[in-house]
Amino acid sequence: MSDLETKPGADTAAGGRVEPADNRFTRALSHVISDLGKNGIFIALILVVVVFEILTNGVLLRPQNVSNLIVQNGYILILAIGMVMVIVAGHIDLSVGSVAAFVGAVSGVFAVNMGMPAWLAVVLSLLIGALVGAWQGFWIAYVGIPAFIVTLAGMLIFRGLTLVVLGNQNIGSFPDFYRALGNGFITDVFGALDIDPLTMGVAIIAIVALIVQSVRTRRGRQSYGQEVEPAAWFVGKLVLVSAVVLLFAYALATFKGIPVTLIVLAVLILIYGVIMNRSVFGRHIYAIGGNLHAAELSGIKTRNVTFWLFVNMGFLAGLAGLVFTARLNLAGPKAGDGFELEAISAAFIGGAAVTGGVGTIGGAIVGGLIIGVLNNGMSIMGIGIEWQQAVKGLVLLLAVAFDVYNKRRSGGR
Amino acid sequence: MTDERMPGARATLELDHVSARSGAGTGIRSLSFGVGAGRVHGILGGPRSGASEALAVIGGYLRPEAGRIELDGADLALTVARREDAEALGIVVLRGEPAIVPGLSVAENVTLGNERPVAGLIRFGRMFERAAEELARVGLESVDVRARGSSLGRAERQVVGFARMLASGRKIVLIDEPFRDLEPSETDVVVRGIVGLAAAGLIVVVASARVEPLLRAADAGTVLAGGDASGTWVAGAPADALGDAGAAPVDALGDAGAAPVDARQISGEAPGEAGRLVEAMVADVVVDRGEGRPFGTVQAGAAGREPALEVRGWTAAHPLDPGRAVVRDASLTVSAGEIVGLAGLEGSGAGELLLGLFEKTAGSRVQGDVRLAGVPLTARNPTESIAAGLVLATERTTTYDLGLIGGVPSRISPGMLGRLARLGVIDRDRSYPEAAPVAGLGGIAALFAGRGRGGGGAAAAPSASATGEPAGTSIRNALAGWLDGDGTRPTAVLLDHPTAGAADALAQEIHGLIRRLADAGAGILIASDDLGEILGVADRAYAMRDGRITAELPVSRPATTTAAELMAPMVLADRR
Repeated sequence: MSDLETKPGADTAAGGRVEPADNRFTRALSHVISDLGKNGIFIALILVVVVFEILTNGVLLRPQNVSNLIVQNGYILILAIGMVMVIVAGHIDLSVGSVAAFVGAVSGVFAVNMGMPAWLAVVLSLLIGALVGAWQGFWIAYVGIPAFIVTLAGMLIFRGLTLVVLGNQNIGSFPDFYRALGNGFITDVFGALDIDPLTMGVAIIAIVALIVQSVRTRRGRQSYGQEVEPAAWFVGKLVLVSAVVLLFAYALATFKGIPVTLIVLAVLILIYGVIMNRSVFGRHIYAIGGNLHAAELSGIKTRNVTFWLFVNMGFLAGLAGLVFTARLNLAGPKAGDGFELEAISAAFIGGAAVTGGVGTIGGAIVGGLIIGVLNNGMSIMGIGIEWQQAVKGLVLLLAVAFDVYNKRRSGGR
Repeated sequence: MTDERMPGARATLELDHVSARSGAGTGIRSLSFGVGAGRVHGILGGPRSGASEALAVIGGYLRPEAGRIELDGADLALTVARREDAEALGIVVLRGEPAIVPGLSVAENVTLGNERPVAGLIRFGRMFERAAEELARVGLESVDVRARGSSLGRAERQVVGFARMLASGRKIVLIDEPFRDLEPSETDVVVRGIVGLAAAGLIVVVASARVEPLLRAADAGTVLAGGDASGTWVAGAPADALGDAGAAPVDALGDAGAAPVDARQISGEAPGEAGRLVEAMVADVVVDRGEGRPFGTVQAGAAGREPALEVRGWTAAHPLDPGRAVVRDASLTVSAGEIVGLAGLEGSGAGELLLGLFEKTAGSRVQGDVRLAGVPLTARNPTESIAAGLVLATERTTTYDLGLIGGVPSRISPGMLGRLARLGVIDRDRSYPEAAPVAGLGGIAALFAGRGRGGGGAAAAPSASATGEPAGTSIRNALAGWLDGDGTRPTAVLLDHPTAGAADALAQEIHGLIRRLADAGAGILIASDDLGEILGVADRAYAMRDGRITAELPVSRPATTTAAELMAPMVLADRR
């Protein structure tokens, strides 16, 4: 009875949080634990990598395989970026696999059958991807048909159109510039060395940028009088991340250098990270997914946001289709089969909420990498496709279950 | 003070004999009041008083049928045909659950839709500062603007919504019942927020049924009863009950600023003031005892009657949010053959108490004892409740559903269907509304119908069940079924807002059936927010507020003072 009455307002933003104990050690410990909880997805990735490194007797992290991991999963990661945005807004897109196949097929017609310059074929194909997105966005945003239905229809429509465009035959032998999207490496700019200096240089620049950014954020928080994590934990985390980046770069440098796919991905992650965290468009996506009613009352043009969200998804699906086609050097009718499910899984494993309003680009990328490592590791071990499917399904279920459990323990919404 | 209200000096909103009617039949008649920038005007009124409709008319949701609404001397009707037009003028209506995005920071919630980006990007440092400033203006200095929206308490969510009005440069904010379902400390937070909105130079109109917080928040106000202005008050001056509804003294507002600070401490110091306002709130209550059951019917022979229903220490929380108490330590008794009223506004817990007695899963963390004719009720679901002799009829839309039957939202659990089925099969062609009372179910329309919205409110649609029958029909059928049912009469009957939305003739028929059912020996408990109904049929009444039973009184005299006695514990805080 009295319990019921005192509960409201006990842990509100105004009241401030109640620390269980006030000595430095417990505070540091509680920070580490809450950090581990927040970064559970990274820890899961590290665990999966370690497990498969052992199970594959060290094959997983061989330089060639590390490079393969990126190139093989690039198109899933590109799709995951768009998919997590769609899911944050409270929608879903089932059509991305078919759209990727369709755009790949169209690019084949442009680049091979019509003999267009490769750059023009790429630009036109991406435009068509965006147009496909606009078509679906129109039905979802302005007509008000649920995204599930529109994109389910899109899945069938664009799979069918892929067959129409291909005319029942594969299109192959793409020009070199086009193929570089999926197979190219930037390497040997400074001559053929054992360890590519460009790759290592880029890695070091990235590490320095990360450290500068982290220190600035920490200083900023301190100047606002906000609590920051203990110095030792802060430095330890930076050292750990730097070491991982260096090792990763070393692996690439001793193989063929930086894959073009990785550059495309890095640029996308940076741009979309800023869009989702800093831009009005990105924050409105969170607002729509978190509370559509509030977003509408606040004068946000929710329909326009939804429309452009799907245009963007179409664009990224098109890009994923190009990367995939370039990698296979072939536009075929079966391309992109099941991509949508891997992209959706990546977003959910990465912590996106089924109800919308929650999810990050970084989480989706890590989720995609977990799926990629599972695929790759089990293939190396020679596990059949049937068991691979079952394991991936279980991982998805457990990841979301863990997330739900975590949220419930920390007091719900 | 009058020089401050010189034309053109500050914005003013004037209503001049405005009449309007909503689709639900509620509305306002010839309402007049004026409010200037930097002032709060209160509209005090219970359900069907027209308080919500007054806001809806100003906000562009309802078209006025007569009268003028003027903003700075210009006729609003010329520019405002729809809600969007009103919004373009900076007029906004806040009602229902506060609109907060849980995943965004408090600062983003304040500046939502008005982020002031630089090249499309948000400058978070500036946004945090700006949000903190706006929050300070509505009295929420202590909130961390970086915390997530989900960490805000209920009152804080409301006030963050107020800060959003400041951030987006609104001019006129119309707030509908901001005090519903709040703890006293939370009420203070909301009052401070409303006062802060006005201090920032906005025109604020607040509609509420809660007297004290409204008196503290408002500089002046109008009491509405049945759509008519039945009284006015000015902060610091005694309340003025109006004889003539149309003659609201708009000019009296000139004195509004005389002593606003002192006047806001009115609560507790001037009980007479609040009492007069409550009397004005019930000015429209007409007590019609109908035929066959004069006052004091039961009191005369009450001695020796056994209690049909006894409830002791009933406590229940919201079914989805166990931290939110809905009913607190409620105890009541209904004797055999007695009709007992349970008067409570929306959010008081009266309907929830009835629903919970019938079906325990209608709440969470339920505690308390129920005895039916002296025997402890151990029913865990409606089927067992009915078997024990406890039945329920409700036509009101509840805020949450008890179960899904074939995908149809309904407030009757799937277990109920067993009583309706033949050989376990639901026959779609069978007339369930007729079969239901025999099975112990009332308001069966709800079982097969979708959700409608009854009662007052600006957005209310005409009240009729989705089966196409007028509201109240299925309750009438249920009562008739119980009255001449197949031998088994219920021991206790729970009726949740039995005549909500029903036409007068049907309501009278329902009341007649209730009286006959009581005469036949059943104990009847009616939850309603319609005091005329309770005083018209009940022998005794309880009042509920904030989940508590706050008063018990016999219904013995056909006077409106009885209505005020019943309304006071519903809308006034306890005197300590």
